[in-house]
Amino acid sequence: MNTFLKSAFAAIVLMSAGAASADDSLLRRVDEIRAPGSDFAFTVDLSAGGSSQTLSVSVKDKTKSLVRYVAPAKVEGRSILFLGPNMWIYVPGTRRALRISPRQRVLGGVSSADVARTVYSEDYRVAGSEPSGDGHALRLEPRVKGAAYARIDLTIDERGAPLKAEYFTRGDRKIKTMSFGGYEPVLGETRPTRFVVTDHVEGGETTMIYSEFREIETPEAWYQPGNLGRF
Amino acid sequence: MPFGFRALASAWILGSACFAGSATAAWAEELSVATTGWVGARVKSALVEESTRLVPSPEDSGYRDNYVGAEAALGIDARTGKLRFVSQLRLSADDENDGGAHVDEAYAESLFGDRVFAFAGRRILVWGQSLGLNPSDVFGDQTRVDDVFPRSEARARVEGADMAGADVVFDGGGTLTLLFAPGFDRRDDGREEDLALARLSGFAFGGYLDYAVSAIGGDRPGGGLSLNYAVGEASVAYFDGTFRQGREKRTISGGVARDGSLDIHLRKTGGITPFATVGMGHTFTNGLSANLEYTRDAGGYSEDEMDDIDSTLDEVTPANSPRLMRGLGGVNVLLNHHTLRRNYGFARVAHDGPFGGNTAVELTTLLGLDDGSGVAGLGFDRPFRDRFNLGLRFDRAFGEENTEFRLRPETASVSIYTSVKF
Repeated sequence: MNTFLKSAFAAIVLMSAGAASADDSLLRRVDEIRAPGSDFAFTVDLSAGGSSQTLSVSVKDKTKSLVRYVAPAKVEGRSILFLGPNMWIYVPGTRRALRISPRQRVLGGVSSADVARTVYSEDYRVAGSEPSGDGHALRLEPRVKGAAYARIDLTIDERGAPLKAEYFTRGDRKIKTMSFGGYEPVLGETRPTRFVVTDHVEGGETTMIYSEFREIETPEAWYQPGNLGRF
Repeated sequence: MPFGFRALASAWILGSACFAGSATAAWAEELSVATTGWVGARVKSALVEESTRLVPSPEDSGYRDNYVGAEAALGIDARTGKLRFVSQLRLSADDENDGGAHVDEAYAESLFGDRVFAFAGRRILVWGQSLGLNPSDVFGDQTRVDDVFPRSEARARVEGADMAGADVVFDGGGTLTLLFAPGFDRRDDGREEDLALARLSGFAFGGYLDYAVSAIGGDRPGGGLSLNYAVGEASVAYFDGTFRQGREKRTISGGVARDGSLDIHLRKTGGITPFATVGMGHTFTNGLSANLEYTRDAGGYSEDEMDDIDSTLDEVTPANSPRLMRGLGGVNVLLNHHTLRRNYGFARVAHDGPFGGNTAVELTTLLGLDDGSGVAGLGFDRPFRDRFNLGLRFDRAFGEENTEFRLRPETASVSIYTSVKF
């Protein structure tokens, strides 16, 4: 009996591990579709409520991102640095890099984390999954301290391409929904290029258009808070 | 403040020579020049008391009920290869004063290898996370910052310090900064010092903590420490402090001499004088951000020292003779600091566009905990199209008569400003 229980327990553990591994593979596949590698750059055009911004984003080693504000003139020269879940902002008028939280907003309901973090698997793990149509519904929970959201409900299709993400705070309050669209061939993969963020707290929609993807190696020295004023 | 010719010339010569010399060596590299700038105007209407003990005749002392001013600035960022030249020239004028020209920045910087940035010239260099009183801003002088403008713009509308130095960048986010600022004149009474500084910044605990430790030379040698720690996904805790010998504020003893002069001196403080701010910032789910800070400035005036100043003010007011006028002038110079006391609280609540709009709102309060006086400000800033913005700001000093923030006669003001950026 004792041997039977041990075997059953071992089987359950192995099955759970296998399921977790499959779910993690799914999440990595989502990331592969969103991000064309570990070192790349792209341009983001944001628009919300009659306002618009153009950002230039550089990503290094998947987890380091540098967001530079290109337009309009009022915000030109600003930049945000992402090192893992840690963030700093540089505003030319302050002449200093300030640490900010991932929840800090960029425009409308879009936070800086929404723009700069192009992968989920570095910050989140799959805490649950179930079939949804031809694809899956994944429940993501933070794997690191300081991740921008307490929970993400992510819907993906059979290929692993993200369709919709719902973001929740610690109190299980849904604060925004991001819809992924505009799928087109980009650097060897069909990737989303149009993201619509619906803000459930203050209302309104913000659209992000990603373009000009390119694989590029950027210098390590760029990714330092003290260097933000040099861009 | 209009520039001094010697300082201006030295900054330009140093910066330009550095750039020109290096540019010659790298002539084959393509030159790119980016220009930025703004043209703006502002109107201010203030509530000025008829007189206070410190300022018996506000009009004669330059206080005005109404003010109309204009400002224009041109920034240049020229790069060729690993060389860079940065400058910001600012012109300002108002309805009563002739225009002034200010070279806020003019420095050259060169990258040696891929880790060493060396620079020389005039530069606005700011450190620290604190928003109210920032001890880490060792090159800053808050009395020169025009608080009418939004916090995100005001610090860059002042003249920088002439300096030479280098940043050495390490793998893993560390940076060592070495610099020397000869003739640095931040102090409000015109004293100058040769300021040298070494600063090491980096990360710990997987990046959740960033730190900077400084060794500061000059008239008041000592050290500095800054710590920023990410708390969860929405909060940041921070500390900025300097621990330098002596103090900047001077005290009075012995009253007014026969000729009206005051016995003003630097009182010995027994060594290191801490000046530190501890604070916390939080961003709410609706985008509202809030900061709360406490500052302890051991170099501020104690209760006894304020009593001495108060007694002297009693002695020289009403200032109805040249001798007493001179004494009152001495007290005014003595108190020409952004803050005077030892304990302060600061609170800020801001939103970039509440209720789905795009008008940024900022409410701030600096409260003197030693005497209960303070100043509160409410600002609105709205962009129009891509380049224009219109701002409205209200400021109000509060507290009992003759407390710190009520010593001067301007008790409230409303300002409107507009600018176009290019």
